[in-house]
Amino acid sequence: MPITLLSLDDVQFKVDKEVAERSILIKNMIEDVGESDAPIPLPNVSSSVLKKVIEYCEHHRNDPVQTQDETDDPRKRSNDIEEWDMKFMMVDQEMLFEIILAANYLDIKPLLDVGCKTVANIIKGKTPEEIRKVFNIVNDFTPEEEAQIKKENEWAEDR
Amino acid sequence: MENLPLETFQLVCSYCSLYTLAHLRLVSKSFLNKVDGSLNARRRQLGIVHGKKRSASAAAHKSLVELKDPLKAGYITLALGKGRVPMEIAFNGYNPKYNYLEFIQKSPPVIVSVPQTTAAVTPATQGINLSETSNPMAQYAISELRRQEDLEPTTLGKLVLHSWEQDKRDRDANPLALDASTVATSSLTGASSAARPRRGSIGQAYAQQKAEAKEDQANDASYMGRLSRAFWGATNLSGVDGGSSSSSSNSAGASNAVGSAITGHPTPDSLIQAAQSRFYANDPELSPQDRQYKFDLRPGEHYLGDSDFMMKYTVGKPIDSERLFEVDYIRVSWKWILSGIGPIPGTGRTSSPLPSNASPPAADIYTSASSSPSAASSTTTPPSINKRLGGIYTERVQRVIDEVKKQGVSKVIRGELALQGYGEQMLPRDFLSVNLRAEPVLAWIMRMDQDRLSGDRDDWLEAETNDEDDEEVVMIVKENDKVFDVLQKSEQDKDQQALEKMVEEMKDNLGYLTCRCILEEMLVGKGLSRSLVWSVGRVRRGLMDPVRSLAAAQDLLRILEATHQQRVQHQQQQ
Repeated sequence: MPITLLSLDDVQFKVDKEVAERSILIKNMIEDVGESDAPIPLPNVSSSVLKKVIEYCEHHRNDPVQTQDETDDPRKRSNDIEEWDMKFMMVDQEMLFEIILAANYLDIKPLLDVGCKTVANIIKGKTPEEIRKVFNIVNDFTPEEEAQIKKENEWAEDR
Repeated sequence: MENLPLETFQLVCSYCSLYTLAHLRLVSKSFLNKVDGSLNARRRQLGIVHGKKRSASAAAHKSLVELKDPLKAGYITLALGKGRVPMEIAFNGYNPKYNYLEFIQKSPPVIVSVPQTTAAVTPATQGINLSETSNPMAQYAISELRRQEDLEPTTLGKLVLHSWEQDKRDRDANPLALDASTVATSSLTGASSAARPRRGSIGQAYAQQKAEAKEDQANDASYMGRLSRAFWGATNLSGVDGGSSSSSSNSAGASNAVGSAITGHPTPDSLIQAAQSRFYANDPELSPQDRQYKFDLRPGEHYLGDSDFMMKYTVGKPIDSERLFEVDYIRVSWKWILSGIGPIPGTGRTSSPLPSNASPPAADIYTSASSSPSAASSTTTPPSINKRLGGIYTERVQRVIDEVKKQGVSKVIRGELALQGYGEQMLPRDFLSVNLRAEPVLAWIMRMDQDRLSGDRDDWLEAETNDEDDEEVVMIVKENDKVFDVLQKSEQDKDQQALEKMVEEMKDNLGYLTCRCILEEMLVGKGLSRSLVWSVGRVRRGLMDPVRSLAAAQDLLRILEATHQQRVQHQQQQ
């Protein structure tokens, strides 16, 4: 039976139940309320983002559900993203963070992990200044603190 | 990214190595706070009670050891002696108050063997007559070698910080070789590996390590002699290393080079030549990862470290010639983390262990007197951002410095040395500043963590107040606060008493002056890098021994003074 999802901007998406239930939030709602024709409102997710999330869930509809042991794997690495997921995450920065927020809200752990890994990969190997530039972050350290940072880092520069 | 919920931000952090996090926390204040928080949030989730490992039951200890760490941001390996399987000390958490990152041993204690005899030294000293030369450097070298004969049980250990960037770099450099770091990582997960003893099979590990220990004993029999020959005979010694199996080929290479170069025992001339080449040349080959320390193997608790790195380890009582060795914890600064990796691909940046002009925080022993934060040390408020970007234990280090000044230790030592004619030209920096690395000082610095107390109180309250109504909760909180305050006050009093006693002992022990301290200062005084002492220390165990008497200190200083004069002559000749 298809499930209808209603986005923030009132766009309806019909998806298979097994696809919708990749989201723990939706799965719990269905269990609590019971199956119904009424659309499930998702007031924190815009249609453009929901479309991407559904695309992800469709692709991974047959994936086994992650166990706690797997999610706690101490060998967590940011470079073990599947090729399809990597391409899926090739979006602009705003969309990337929107997907992460949606995954967090909808409780889709694998999608959240992929999003966070992607962000970690963006950060990796960059200097603080480069990270500021990429994410448009203002350096709010005082001049004294800034001097302290520079003093700490000067030895790490090319010599 | 700043708008991500805290938990999501922390998840991003969980995919970053400590090296990346070190950069991330310098982006902005918000990032700094979030990263620092993320390092401990996971500990709380795991229910790790900081600092209770030793008092925990065996079962609790086992559960701690077997904890799956969802944020394995990095780990340190410690290789004791040549050829031994390195221990793995995994990242455990971050203490914002004292600004250190803590690593704890998650593998079982290792067995170390203690050589029954130091006859190994004898071959190196054979054929050298002290009266053959009047050169002070040669005399020093020979006397040091001979002094090894009553050497206390020690071993050299090499520390290597592993991070993903470094592992990747190593893999890229040598994709065909077995990735030792991957092996180490898998052992932390409990995955099987035929090459190494696994957790849970201590018996097997013991058997394997016993066999290795026997082999080591044989190796140790010629260890010092080999090192000595390698050091004194070779000029390119960056690979000479007694602590790491990864550099054993280099070590062998160096030894071979020495063998072909000198084909026998070193002569006084070769000793002088080699010593000069080490003292007078700034060695660019010193690797950031060549952090080698001498470990005291007498039973009991020991402390080791410097301004960016401190550790506590415990040696068990000897059975035959074997002892159990366990790292209680290693605490390092962010600076140490940043220095533990070579050039980062794509960044064009490179790191080194210490800046050539690096100085420990105590370098400000006199200049920072007016801003003593000793009063603040009793508070539990987090330090300022400025301090969190700086060294570790700055407040407690400052308390030591304050107490040293209060008790006039500095003047006494300087006075006695001055009477013997040794002035500030020999040791331009304060004697005591470098001795903040002495074991008793480190023991005091790390003896009490206010943060742990406050952290425990929060945990305690949380546990106590569960399932209680509001009124009862208020009562419990008030009572607990009172009890806690009394306990805290008592601890603070004990802490102060311990500090005073430690400084008094420092006064009686020449400021815990060590040969290494003096040599480092001499190197700096000559405009050379303090880190050169690593090259010296790795082959001269004696350099890190305490100076046991004023006479010994004077002898050493005399030799160093002569060395200094030689350097001037050497420069004039050039």
